[in-house]
Amino acid sequence: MFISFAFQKSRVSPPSAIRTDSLTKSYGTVNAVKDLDLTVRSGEVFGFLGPNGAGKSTTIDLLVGFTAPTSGSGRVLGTDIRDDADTLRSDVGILPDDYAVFPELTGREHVRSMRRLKGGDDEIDRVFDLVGIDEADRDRAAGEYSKGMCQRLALGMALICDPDLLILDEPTSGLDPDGVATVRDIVRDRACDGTTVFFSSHHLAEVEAVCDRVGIMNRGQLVAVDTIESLRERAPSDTRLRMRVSEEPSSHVVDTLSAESGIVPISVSDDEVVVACEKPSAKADAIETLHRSTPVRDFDVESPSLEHVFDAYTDPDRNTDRRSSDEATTEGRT
Amino acid sequence: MTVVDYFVHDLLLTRRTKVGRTVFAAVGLAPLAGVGISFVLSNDALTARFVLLSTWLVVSGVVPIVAVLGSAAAISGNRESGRLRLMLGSPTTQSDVLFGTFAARLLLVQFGLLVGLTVAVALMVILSLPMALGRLGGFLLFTPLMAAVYVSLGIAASTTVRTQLRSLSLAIAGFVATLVWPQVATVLASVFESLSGITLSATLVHFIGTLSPFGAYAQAIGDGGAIYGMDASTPLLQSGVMGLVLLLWVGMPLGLAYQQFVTADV
Repeated sequence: MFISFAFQKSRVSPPSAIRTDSLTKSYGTVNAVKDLDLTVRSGEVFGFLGPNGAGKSTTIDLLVGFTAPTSGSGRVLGTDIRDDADTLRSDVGILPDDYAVFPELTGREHVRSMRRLKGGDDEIDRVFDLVGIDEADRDRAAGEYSKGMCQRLALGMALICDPDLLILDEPTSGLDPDGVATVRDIVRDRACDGTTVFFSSHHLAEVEAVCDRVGIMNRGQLVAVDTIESLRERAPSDTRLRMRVSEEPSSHVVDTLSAESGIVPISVSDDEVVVACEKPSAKADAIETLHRSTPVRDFDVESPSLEHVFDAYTDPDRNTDRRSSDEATTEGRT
Repeated sequence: MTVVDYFVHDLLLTRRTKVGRTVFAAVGLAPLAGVGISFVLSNDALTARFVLLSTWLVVSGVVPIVAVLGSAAAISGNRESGRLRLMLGSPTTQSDVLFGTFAARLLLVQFGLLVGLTVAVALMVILSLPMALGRLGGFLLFTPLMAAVYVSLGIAASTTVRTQLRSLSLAIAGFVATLVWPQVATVLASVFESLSGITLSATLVHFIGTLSPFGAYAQAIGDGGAIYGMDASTPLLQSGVMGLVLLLWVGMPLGLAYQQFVTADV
């Protein structure tokens, strides 16, 4: 079930919900986060991507004051993360990673405790309705909850008292498809309500579905920040153009295509020509060139998946392997 | 006042857990067990002093170990499991957690003691035992203070290390150290005397022994003669000084824990 929040944000938010300047966290000689310059605008849904050990969770720990930075600075909702972390947490809903529930307390007692600690008077059942925990389960000990229910409970604790900023670390972990859809709905709804959402995840499809912009972390550094579309365009991953033709083009046409700048033929068959286009304008050139020799009946554009974009920024070698594998599969089909 | 809110949260948790219930039951039953043992051992010649001594022996044996172990995993357990991370997603600070947890565990132990001591005193009244009120008063005053010391030690152990097992080990080591300190002080004084040729006064050695919470408690309840074979004879060994020693032992571990914990990573 999905219930909307009934009111819009009335507080004046700073232009940047999160801003860090050269934020660094080192453990001995290891830089878990290095020189992080990150800006998350108020009201946006920001996806935070990165492989395991990239520094995503450490970044979140720094932002909410769970750990102190080695150097650099940061402000969350205008509050300094070094000096006033507890104050900023009153306006932030946090779903941390590596958390556990209190097995002896009921779900209701968890949310009530969090509400008391946040000093709010939010209605507890509204939060349970929002995260999809049935009435019968609300007064059961959390020790009897499944992993997915614990995740819903923790999400509910993050949502209590209507935070201005939601920081969600792997929020869909352990959830069934229905739970994943619920999280997606909550994030979208909160974004409509003006809440800033900082969404860290390994599930690229989830990030793609809900986020306005994404940041990609790798080895403690922010390697890219932009909209997903812009990242696709910037990443060295080719868009693939699949053109359906009336008859197989001659080898001369294939050579002509190859000679065009930014076009790489991948496969040619009786009724289909597939080319990789390195830049957007190359697609029109490819269609025009092919159409001169044989009519192009239809075409599809296959953008690189977010996985390809992700690999391009975090592991270029694996990206090349993945593209090669895809091409082999395509050729096998043709 | 999130320290109060965290206190309420931890008190609720304590009431629900087996550890919390066990602590309450053990602390509450200890004075009654002391009275019961005095009955069994009295051979029909029951005196108030014997009942009090028996009760003191049981209480001083049970309450410190239960208090220290009942508190030792309070924060480290939540930290190790990730429950602390969940609750710190609020304006709660680490000092709120420290003092809120201490207050909750202290209240649990004190409430158990209050119930147990009230029933024990009621039994003594019913039995019409001629009580030395000063001695009884000292017992009723200093026993909760001694319990507070061991709760403080347990909480300090709980914040100093990151895992339950380590904090429990540290708490047990601390408990044993405070327990044997009066004897250790005597041995060290003998060694010092034999090495230096300087004779230390018995009062000074005795005082050094009372610098541990167990030694101070034994001295303060006013039956030091029964324990040390020596009654307080100087201002240094009076109840007020022992009370001060115990108060320092409540504050010192908490102060060190505060320094250690508030700047630590969650």
